Amino acid sequence: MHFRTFLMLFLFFSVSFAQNYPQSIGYVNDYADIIGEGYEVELNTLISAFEKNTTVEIAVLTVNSLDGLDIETYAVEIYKEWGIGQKNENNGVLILVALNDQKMRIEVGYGLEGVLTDIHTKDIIDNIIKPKFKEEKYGEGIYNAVLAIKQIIETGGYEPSLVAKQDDGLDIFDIIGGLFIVIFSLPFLLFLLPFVLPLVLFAILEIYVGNLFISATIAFLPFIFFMKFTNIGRSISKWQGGLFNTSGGWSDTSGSWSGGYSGGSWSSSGSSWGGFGGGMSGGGGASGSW
Amino acid sequence: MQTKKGFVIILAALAGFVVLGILFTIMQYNSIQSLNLEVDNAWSKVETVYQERFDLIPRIVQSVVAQTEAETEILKNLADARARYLSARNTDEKVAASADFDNAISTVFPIVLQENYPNIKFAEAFKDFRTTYEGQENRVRVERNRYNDAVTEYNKVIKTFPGNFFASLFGFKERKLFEAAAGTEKAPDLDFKIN
Repeated sequence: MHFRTFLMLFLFFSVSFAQNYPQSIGYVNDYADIIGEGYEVELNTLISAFEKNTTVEIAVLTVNSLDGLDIETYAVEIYKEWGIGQKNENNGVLILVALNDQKMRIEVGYGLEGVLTDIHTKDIIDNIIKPKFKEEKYGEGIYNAVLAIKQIIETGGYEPSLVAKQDDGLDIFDIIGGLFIVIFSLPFLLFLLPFVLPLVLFAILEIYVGNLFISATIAFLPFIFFMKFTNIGRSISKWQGGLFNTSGGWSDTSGSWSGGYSGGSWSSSGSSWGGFGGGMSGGGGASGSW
Repeated sequence: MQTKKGFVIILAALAGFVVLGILFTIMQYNSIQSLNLEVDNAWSKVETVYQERFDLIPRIVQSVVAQTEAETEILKNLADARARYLSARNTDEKVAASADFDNAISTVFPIVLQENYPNIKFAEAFKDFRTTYEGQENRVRVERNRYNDAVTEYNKVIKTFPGNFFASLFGFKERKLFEAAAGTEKAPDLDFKIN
């Protein structure tokens, strides 16, 4: 029982604090600096044209190290983090290269698994990427791989099921969505509760008891207790800027999680890069080394 | 006058409190229930990849073991494990059937080594088998981890305040983490070279 609880806590924290993955800065993310300027431009042109035609998103990531993770785990986590491919199509592909580990993986989104099979990706790795990588022609290897992926998807007759839906203004779903937002913003009203309630209570007690000290104690103590010793109270006080928070012991995992990623690098990249479409993958594709 | 005014204030405060309490209860219920549904959803994905694996692997094994002595036996074992999976009534039986399946697959490799085919066609078939097998293993692993993440998140909420109170109020039970059957956590090692 205690072990299980411990395990759960451990899992929770290990999940939350696991990794600081690189952020996407475009289709090509050459963190290991092996692709070369020319091929980077070519790749960007190729991939963005391909996305315009098919909505398929191809992401390239090179890193120096996998930080001790196996490449399959790293790929699936990055894929999820970046959300490659359109949200409801999951039509993305990630080409991941880890230079020091000499490993690579092509991770295929759920929506492309039927057309771009594991065997296809393995063939691309073995026959197209590997020979070039052995000659340290990384940019060329990756470029040829993207060409091959494009060709397989095109000749495989892939079509997204909802080809780039037109934005046709306000419809009933927008209105329902708006209502949902209103309803779900109610929790924020609740954040005011710990302040408003003790004040009301204090006012009432002040009228009937007439003793400032006793009224204040009865009105505020339970709320200070609430804010300090319950999870929800601590979350509230953290959210409100730590007004009631005296000890630094509470680490809000969800807070630091989102904090780690909302570093503003989407906007600071200076280009028009707005991130990928929000697709998911489920471990499809193949890995290899060179 | 003074008393009446105080009474009204108390009544209004109480009414406000009740309303907020009801809203809070609804939101708690909704958030626990949506986590609960997420666990179900993650589990259905685990089952999907298991199913795919049972459908896909035997077909590919067939091309590898074709015309070997053990062909009939291996295919029969795979079919049996698949049948047992399909008729399984609970998770434990499914996991057990899946372990049988893995065992049946692991008998493929000695045959490959033993027969040591010289022809290229076989080498191709074996490579495809290996790629598909690894791919399916990886899919199972991914969905299993996601399921466990969903369970962990759900369990965390229903075991900490205030979720624990509302979970017991609405009868939400702790969900079980998926643990692979003993001996099957690690897939058979396919890392030998055939040339």
